[in-house]
Amino acid sequence: MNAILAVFKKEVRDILRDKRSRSAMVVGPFFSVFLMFALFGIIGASVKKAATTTIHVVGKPQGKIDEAIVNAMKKGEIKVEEVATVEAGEKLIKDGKARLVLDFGTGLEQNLAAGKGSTLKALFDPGEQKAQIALSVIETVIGKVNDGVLEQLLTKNNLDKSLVRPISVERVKVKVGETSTAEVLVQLIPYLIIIWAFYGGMSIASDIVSGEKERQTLETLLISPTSRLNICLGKLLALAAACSVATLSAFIALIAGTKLPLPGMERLLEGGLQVSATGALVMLLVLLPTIALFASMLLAVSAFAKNTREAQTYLAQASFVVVLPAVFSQVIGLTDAGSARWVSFVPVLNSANALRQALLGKYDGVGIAITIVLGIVLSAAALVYAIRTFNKEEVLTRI
Amino acid sequence: MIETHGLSKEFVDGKRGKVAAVQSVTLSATPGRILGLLGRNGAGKSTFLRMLSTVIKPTAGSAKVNGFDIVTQSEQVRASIGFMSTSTALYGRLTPVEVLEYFGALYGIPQPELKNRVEYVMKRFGIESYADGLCDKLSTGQKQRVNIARTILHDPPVLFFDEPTSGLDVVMSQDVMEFVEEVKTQGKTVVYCTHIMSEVERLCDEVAVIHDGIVCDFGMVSALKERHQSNSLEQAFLKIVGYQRGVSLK
Repeated sequence: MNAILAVFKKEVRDILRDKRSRSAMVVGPFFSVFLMFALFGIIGASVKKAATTTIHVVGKPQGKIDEAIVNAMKKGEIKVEEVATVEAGEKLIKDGKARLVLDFGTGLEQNLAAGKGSTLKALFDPGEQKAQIALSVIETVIGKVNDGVLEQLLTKNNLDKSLVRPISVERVKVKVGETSTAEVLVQLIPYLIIIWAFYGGMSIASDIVSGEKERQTLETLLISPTSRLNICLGKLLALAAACSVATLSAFIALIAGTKLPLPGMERLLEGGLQVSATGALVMLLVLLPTIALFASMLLAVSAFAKNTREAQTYLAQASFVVVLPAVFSQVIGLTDAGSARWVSFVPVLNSANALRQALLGKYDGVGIAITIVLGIVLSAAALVYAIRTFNKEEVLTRI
Repeated sequence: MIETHGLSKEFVDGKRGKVAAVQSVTLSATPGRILGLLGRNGAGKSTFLRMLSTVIKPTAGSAKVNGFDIVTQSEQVRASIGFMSTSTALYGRLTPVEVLEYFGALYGIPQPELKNRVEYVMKRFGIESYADGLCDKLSTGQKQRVNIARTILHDPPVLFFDEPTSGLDVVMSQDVMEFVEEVKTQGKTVVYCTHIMSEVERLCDEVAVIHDGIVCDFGMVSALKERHQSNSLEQAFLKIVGYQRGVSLK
């Protein structure tokens, strides 16, 4: 036990004195998460800004209906600008100066009075995304105006105006989990925690055994009477500590992101971050074997590699095993897989999904148990492989 | 005390198949004497020492170090030896004190004793003045002194030196050799591995000449010279390994 502790203490000391390791464990996770948040906020704010879009209208409104449409547009935070002709409007679109040009045409009022429908022309560039957004905005506005016109017609004919929409849908929110957390956080937190739990240890892993081979310190270490198992366990604990610190840094950045007045945050984080005591416990129980799995995997790769360069190559490949399920975990809530049993049997994805559910206050006991047991089994297997590799002569002779 | 009987080591190489690095070596080294292992680069000297220090296992034969079997009692063997070579590096981000304390803990030296031992070796090798600087910042000579201190920290009865002066300047080499002479007078068993003839002549009581993994000759330096009718150890060595002018050895 003393030897394990001695190796652990030495590795931690070594890690803390290395700028690269400090950066991977603390600076990297903190700033990347914080910047991601800031970026999300800025994008959110600019999307909102895009909603206050400018729409060009050909000529002046000529009748009540035209005016009603223009007024509805202005109410909907749409800036209305006039353009003399359709051709002038087309030119503005080609020059990138207009997103959408609306042509009322003639006879709108007369057609309606005669009980006929009319068509407005909306000119836009189909390759321009902002034009698509403007189009959907204008269609919503026209829809509202249509509803108003219909209501008037129904009232005029002594009919109930609710018949404008004979069937409507009432949204009734059912509280499923014990907490409510902002959707963006539910998607982001599991992904960030998993990614940083791995990357936090990755930069250290290439140094922890293969680095010792390269710097020729490993032989001296192996000549000491301490068993290789103890050396392995000491190094494993140091790696697990690095993974945990990186996870914690990401989490602190996340909390800082929710607390600071960054642009667009208010809208983005509607619902905030609420985790119950049970949720926190579940997250911890799921995270521990996940971190143990990552640390064992990283140790095995480092013990196998001839030098740091080879270790970095293998680790870059191994990172895909973590990144792909972690990325999928971001969208799993949009699919049926979020509650499917098979997800519990997919390493990394199961952890991310269990974290996601814990944030929502939903607890699938069987799924959580499978995730924890599978994590323990896989980390034990990776550790056994690392110890075996460490016990082989090749750990010294394969250089 | 070291005794080996038919100690052999084969490596399996993907391209060359089985490679015999050490073949049936039977040797002994006694306390208070220095056994020299003389051979060219790649002769099998380091493999022999690695087997004795239990980091690799022999494919045949047996050996005892300080009375412990190198295969079945490897932990006791490792606790009995000190290993030093120039290629052995220190941890660059640790200070000399931390390196010594680390290895002291790995050797299971209890805390109050460890403190005394660290203080003793630091004083003995003049490390105190740079004891708190990072090893990365030390000069080659200072690093070598820390390495020597680490080697004898646990006061082992058996010491292995694998080309300990390789790459060192004359003064530093002198320092190392004086240290080897000192441990001999302390009654420790020393195996000194080198390809530098002058070091062997100065330090070693017996010499084993290793070539292609085989001990080609063994005896005192004077006996080797006499046996091969040579004026110097270098001449005797060249005759032992079958060197002919203008013909490369394999």
